[in-house]
Amino acid sequence: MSDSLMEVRDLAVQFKVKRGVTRAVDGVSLEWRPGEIFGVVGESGCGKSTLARALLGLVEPAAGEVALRGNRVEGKAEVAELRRRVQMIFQDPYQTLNPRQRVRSIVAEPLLVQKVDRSEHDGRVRRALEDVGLDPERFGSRYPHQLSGGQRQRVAIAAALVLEPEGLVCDEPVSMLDASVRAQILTVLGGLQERRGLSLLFITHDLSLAWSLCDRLAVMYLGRVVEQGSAVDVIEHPRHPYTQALVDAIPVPSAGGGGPRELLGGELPDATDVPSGCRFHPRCPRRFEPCDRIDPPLIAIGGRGQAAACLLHDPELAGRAVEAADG
Amino acid sequence: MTEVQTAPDAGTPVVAPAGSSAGDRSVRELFLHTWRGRIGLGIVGLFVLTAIFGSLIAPDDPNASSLAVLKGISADHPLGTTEFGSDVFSQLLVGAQVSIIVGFSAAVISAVLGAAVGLAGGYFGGWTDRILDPLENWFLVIPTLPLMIVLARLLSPSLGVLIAVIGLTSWAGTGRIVRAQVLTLRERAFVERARALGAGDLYIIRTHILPNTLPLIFANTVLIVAVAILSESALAFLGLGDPTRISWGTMLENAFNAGAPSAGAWWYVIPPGLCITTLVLAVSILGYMLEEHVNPRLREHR
Amino acid sequence: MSLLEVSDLRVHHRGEPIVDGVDFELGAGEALGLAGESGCGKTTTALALMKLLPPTLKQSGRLTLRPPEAEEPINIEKRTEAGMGLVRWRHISLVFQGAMNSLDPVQRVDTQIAEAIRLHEARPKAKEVRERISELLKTVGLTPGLGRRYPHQLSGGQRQRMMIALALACRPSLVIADEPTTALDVVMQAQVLQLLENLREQLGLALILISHDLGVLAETCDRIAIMYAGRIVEIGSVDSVFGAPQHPYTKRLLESLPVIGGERGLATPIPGGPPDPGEMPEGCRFRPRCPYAAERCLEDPRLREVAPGHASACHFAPWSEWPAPAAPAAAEGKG
Repeated sequence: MSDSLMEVRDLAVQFKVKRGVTRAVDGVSLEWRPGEIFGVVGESGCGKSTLARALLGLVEPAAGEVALRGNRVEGKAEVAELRRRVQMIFQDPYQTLNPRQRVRSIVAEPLLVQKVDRSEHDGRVRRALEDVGLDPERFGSRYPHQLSGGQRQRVAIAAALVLEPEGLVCDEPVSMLDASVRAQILTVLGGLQERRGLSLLFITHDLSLAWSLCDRLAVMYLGRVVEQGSAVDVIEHPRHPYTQALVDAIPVPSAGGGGPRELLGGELPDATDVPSGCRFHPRCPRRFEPCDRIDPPLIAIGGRGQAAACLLHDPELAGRAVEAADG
Repeated sequence: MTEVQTAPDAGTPVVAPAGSSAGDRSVRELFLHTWRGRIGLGIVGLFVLTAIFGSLIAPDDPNASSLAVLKGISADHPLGTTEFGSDVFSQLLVGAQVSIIVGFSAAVISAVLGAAVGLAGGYFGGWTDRILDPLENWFLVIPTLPLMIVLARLLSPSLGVLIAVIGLTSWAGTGRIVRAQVLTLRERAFVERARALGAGDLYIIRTHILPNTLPLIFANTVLIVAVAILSESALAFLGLGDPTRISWGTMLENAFNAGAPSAGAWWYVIPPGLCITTLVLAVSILGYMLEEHVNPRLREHR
Repeated sequence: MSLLEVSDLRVHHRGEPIVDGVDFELGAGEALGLAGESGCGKTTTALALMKLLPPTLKQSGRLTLRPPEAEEPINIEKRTEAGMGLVRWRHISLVFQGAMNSLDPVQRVDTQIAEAIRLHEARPKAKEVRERISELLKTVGLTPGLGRRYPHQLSGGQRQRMMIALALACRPSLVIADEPTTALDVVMQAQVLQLLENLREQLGLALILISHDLGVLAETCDRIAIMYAGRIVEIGSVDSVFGAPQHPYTKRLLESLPVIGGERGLATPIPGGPPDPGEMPEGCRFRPRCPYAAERCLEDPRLREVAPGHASACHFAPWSEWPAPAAPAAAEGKG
């Protein structure tokens, strides 16, 4: 599958904490294709941000592999190559910019780090700022505290673009911005994807946003992908009870709201203590007999690439498990 | 370490519009447009000038002895004479040099040491920190003066030794503050962003960590100048100063050895004491102003 | 007779208006949503209602509260700080932003609730207080045993429920909740919103819910007020505001939100950003960003009723249809 931009297989990331080991990412495989907007959604603590950091080699995986254009990323040279071709922007625009650097040097920093010839700096910084809709003359010599939240996020995007990467990992890039500013930033990102064929990996907790923006998406729960497929299929016809619960919980900004609904009880368990079997079973409204014993793999549904890690879609597997227990 | 994932805290309106608080003034304005700043800067400036030109404007050779022993204020001797008949005023002028040189040099050594240890421990963490942190704590809790006395006694007294001893024993506070600041900076997204770009540790420290800790280091160093001046005086008073140079501390030592206080020779005791206090006070004012300026938490009650 | 009447509320910071002439009424048991982007003055309005503004902010305007449990109307604007002590928590309480983290970490949570009760009631019996606390915890859906815990032993959702219990401790008739679910995930957010709704039914509580999330307000409120640059630009029932918005700002705001099942893809963003309090545009404050702005808009529009119970501060309201917008008036990377 060398036509993917990036691919991870059986990736696991663990952190040592006082109470044991947090399995932040626990066996994730997915494929991010060139030119697409791929969404990773889930609640905070589901491991989506850790997954993004593992993709860029910012955290050390405990197991599994990461590949760029079909080549496994291992060793310094490959990581350096990866960081040239895939960039990342972060959630908090107030934290991502060094308060003591001017906009111009913030945007030029990647060129400096990657040792791009000095004579190219000015032109590329200028182009990157223009690409995100900031006038280089007006904004180049400002400091971050002289910018609004939306402008800061634009500067962060410009700094990510200046190396002309193929992929951009966006970790909740608009969750701290207001509705009108949010739409502006999304338009900038959408425009880049269209004009430059930039591939976006979009990490968000906002399902409506993921639905409207992404081509494909993966839903994460407790370090594992529980459902994936095209954004429309997954959100409009969820096949995993967890995805269903997430979709049901979205407040709807329209007359009458979303109406009555069934709410998921309980809270996301601690990732140091992952439940046995299907990790969602203690909260699942549709669990049945072998759910606490069998950890279901992603099971393909329909012919369009949708898959859900739920025994409901493989009664045979569930049945065999029950028989095995009885026998 | 746990997963770093903050919940979205969107749309936090600030009650007061940012960018209008008194704290946004530049350091220059702070020092030149407030009375506290003007006084502090004026006094320190005066003493620095004295240190530079003191030996030129001194009316007498400060080491010249005469028969006018422990004489009070007169036209010849505006601040009286010592037990050897030397001019106290001239000694006072020349003595400023030692205080200023020791104060600033020791503070610079202390700042460099403290910053290096704090940066290394805070940034690299792990084993580096596990070795440096206890070292820092050790220097922080041991009584500094006895340590200085022991060190100064072991080495033969000279100006260089004094500076080294004071610098070596006073860096721990700076180290602590820098380490704490670096620990928070290290987790800031712009550092992670630089790392995601493929920037090396040295680059990150140079462009992102150090510039953001510099104001803190600077403010703290100014406060250490005051401590160093006091320490030099104390060591000199205990007879551990540079015997070839006159300082306010050695003046006080000589005065006490000569029984000046009991002889009622106040002009020999009070002027050097007053000089030490005034200079230390002025430096401290500037230091605290700087500290308030760089640490907004101290500014709440404006 | 309404529970709360706010008339010409203004808040200034060094002469610059943060809240600039806000009027509204709130009925007993009613839920009003206050929406708007950061800096629009919604939190400042909430704090002004309880006179909790920092000293650098000066407020003016009439605030009349008529709680059923008090014999006479309370004129909040005339109350001194000491007088407000009797009003806060007893009649109006506040669940503020990041409330989850505002519990005292070294005290058990029930002790903190008991403290709130003791501060407002003359010598309550210890046993009664205990019973009331366990009743309160049950009301917010927590087992009474959790009261003996320290804040760090509770999860985010449980802490948020504790804060709501704390707000209800003295049986106020009005609760102001400032972004109560912003730090929570969707599932937990839905749980907390459900709880607020149940409480209103059970206790006849009036609620002012402040949020930047229009979905949250649509789910929970009866009426909604949209604020922009220190003013209410539109107010009306949730159904009519969301169904037929009467102000271009509301209209564009709603369009910028994706609704699952609706149209996918990116909405055209509102150009520019909200004005600074020091540089308010002349006339209608939304004018520089409004695609429908005309000469008339240089005149300051008043908030006026354009349909029954639905008011808009737009000269052109009521809008029966929205023409395709002309090119935006001014836009240059201001966002």
